[in-house]
Amino acid sequence: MPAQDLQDRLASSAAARGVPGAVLAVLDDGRAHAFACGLANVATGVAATPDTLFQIGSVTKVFTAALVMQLAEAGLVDLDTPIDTYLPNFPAPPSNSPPSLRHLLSHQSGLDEAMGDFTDRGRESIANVVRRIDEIGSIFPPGAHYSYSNTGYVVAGHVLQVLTGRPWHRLIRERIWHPLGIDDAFVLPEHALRFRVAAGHIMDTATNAAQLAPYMFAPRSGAPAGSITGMTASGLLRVARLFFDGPDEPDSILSRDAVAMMTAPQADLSGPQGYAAWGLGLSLEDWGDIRVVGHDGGTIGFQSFLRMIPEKACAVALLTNGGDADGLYRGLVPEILHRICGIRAPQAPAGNGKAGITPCQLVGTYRSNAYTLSIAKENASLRGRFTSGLGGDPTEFALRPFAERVFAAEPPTLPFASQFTVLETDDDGRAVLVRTNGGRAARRAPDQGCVS
Amino acid sequence: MTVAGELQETVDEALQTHGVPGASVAVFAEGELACAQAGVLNIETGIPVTSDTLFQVGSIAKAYTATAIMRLAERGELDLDAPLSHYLPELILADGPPADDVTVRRLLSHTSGLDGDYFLDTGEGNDCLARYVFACADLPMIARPGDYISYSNAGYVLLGRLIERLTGAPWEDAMRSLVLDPLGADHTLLYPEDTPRFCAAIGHFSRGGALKVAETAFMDRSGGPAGARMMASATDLIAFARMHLEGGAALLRPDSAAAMQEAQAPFPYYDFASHWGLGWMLFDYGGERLVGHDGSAMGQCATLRFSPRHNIAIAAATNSEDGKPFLKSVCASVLQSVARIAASDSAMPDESDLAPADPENYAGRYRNIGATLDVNATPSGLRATHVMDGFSRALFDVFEYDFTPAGEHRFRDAAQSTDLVFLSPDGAGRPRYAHAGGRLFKRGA
Repeated sequence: MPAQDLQDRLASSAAARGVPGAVLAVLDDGRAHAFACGLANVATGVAATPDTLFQIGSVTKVFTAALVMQLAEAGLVDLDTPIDTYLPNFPAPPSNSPPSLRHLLSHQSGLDEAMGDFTDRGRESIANVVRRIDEIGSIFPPGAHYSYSNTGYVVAGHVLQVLTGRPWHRLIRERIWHPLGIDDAFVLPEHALRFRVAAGHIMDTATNAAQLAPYMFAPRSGAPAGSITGMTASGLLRVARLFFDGPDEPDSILSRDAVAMMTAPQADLSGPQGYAAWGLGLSLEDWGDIRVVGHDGGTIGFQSFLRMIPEKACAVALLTNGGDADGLYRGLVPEILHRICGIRAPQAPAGNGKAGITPCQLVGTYRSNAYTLSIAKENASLRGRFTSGLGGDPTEFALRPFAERVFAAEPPTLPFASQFTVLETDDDGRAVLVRTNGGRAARRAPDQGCVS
Repeated sequence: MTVAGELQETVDEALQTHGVPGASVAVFAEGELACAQAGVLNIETGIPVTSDTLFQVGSIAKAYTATAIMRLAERGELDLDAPLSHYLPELILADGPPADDVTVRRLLSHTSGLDGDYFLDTGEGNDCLARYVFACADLPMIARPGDYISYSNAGYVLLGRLIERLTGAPWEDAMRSLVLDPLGADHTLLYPEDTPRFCAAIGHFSRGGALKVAETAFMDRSGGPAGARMMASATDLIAFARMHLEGGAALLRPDSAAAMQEAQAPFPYYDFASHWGLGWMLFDYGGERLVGHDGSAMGQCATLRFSPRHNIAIAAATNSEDGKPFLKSVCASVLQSVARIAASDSAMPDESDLAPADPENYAGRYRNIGATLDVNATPSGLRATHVMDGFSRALFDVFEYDFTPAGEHRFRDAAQSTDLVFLSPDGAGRPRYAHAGGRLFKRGA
């Protein structure tokens, strides 16, 4: 795709979707190209450039997973050993055994989310999450299901700190960025000043214009899950090369075995979620018969996307600081990957409208720390009410059977909570555990039952 | 003067002359605010400095800490003349608990006798000052309380902890509610996590003739109340100075604002300041009293000056370790231009009529917690080598001075406009202390 074309498309699409600033980097045939548009910060008017650092959010999980793989290869940890071996005081939530590192990295730990503390800036902030693990709780026993868990990555980060005696933020620099020659990146807010950094933006509903986010950084305790990290899109492409097919390189920071393990399915997600599976620190998608691996990220006012096609040695990184970034991704990245790799994004599976679960078996309230989903019956139809654990007004929608054990919201107002899959039922066939298409599970709260 | 037009010219010229990467200057005179800025935030990004750009202001933050202390005193929450140990009973110094005459007032005026350049990484947590207090078990007194003035960063960190104790909030949050919010200082930050909000400058160090971006942007959080982290725009600094110029305006009572500008103790030389008030440095500038503070942190420096007599204020900041000559020249031309105050070197005490000192008496090694001063006799006077210890050693060069006798126990390096004064001679005429750069150094055994 000609460079000017891409530049124009990025700028016009970002503008159309209210994205204040964006950087797109494409790695094709061994050559990296980066394009930028808009502003790094709408308040200062500083432009976004290809070398501007954006917060990459959960793309950071690729690094935390890679560090764990390094420790595993060095013989310091075993991926399948329960982590209380490494953290003797790890308080396993009641009735559940402690998860393994594999559970943590593949989001099968069942650990619920923790609301971070913006004021906990100390060197103990990561450890403090682990100390609270009892109170944070878990949604299901390790290995039972997939449920996206930032907490799992914070715990993995803590294991890294305990076993190496080094802070997680140093390990990232020493063992990932420095060997890859990445200098323009930060994992501590106090390092952001050195670079051209983007600020996160939210939509001012009154003026429909982007304004600075109320917080520039999410709480530090979430750092190993991605709450702080800032990088350039080109820096992410350097990381992407690690995952391309090729011979083992002795000085690589990841062995071929480690890459193979990270990109092998650990948790099956085939179905309406759009992912085929989750590996270790990576999402795995099947675009036709081509495997696309990557990660998305989101922090306050930022969204990021990394996609790599190992067998084609292609990659795309898209970093944004507000607006409808999902729309920008969908309108841009599949087309780019089609043009450079000849692959097409999979179509969302069509439902047959039959869930195999009656409305009465679904009615109830499902809770996790991340959200509360209340489902009620109104006449013959179902209504859902979704309240984020972060607060804010609830969103209401009609719910209809979509496919086997799957219900869909109409309209799909919340992109990450527009479909709900029933993961477990009780002896009466009632749903007791559901998961959003955003990948988060919630368990049924005790209730009065349903009047049919 | 047509302040705005001339100011831009002055700043542009000085930026060229002194080779600093970027600068911002704001002047309040004749009831008007004028601003000028030039250069870049960061030589690597090339983002231009704007009138809203924040610079690290270093120890100018001490005047903010002092202002918060005065507000708490006005509310009756503390007594300036009470012992510090009354409020921080857990404080134990290297020599034991601080004496009762280590008072809040003496900490404000750097006359507590507490040694000063004690910087510690006690973490990014909200307990960083509480931990610092416990680490003061390694901090010695350098003099008896009240005997001498000696610039003490440690003293201001303890004042910061005192503010936390009385407000129950982290120092940064307490400053926000006690000082910054009432001033409307929305281009002042205390937490590094706020930097992406603003155009904010990074420090630069010169290494081998080339400017380099500071690798570490901020000093440790525990130094905050002494100025480790505060960043502000020049206009926000002016707003703070105007509040003090205007008798405390809506923030302080007039008597508190006036007390802060009253001399508490003189310096033995004028190259640092002539006197200290409560938080403010007082300058004898060409015979005129100026009030203000200087600051530097991680390759940036800033200066704030105001004259109650002329009702003017100047704030200037630059992102170079070597920015002080730039700041000095900009301030000098502004003062000349708006207030007809001429810079004068005669402000240094002239004691040349006194008997020249015998250099041999003064030779020796003098130390404080932050630095070592090696003094050797030379045919013309004294040669002194100043080496930072601890935190600062990696950042700063070794400084060499050649002093000639300038009075009784006084030597001067005229080329570097620096005095070295010796104090408290023993029976043999050998001094117990050297005083230079605002600090006491104690003679080694």
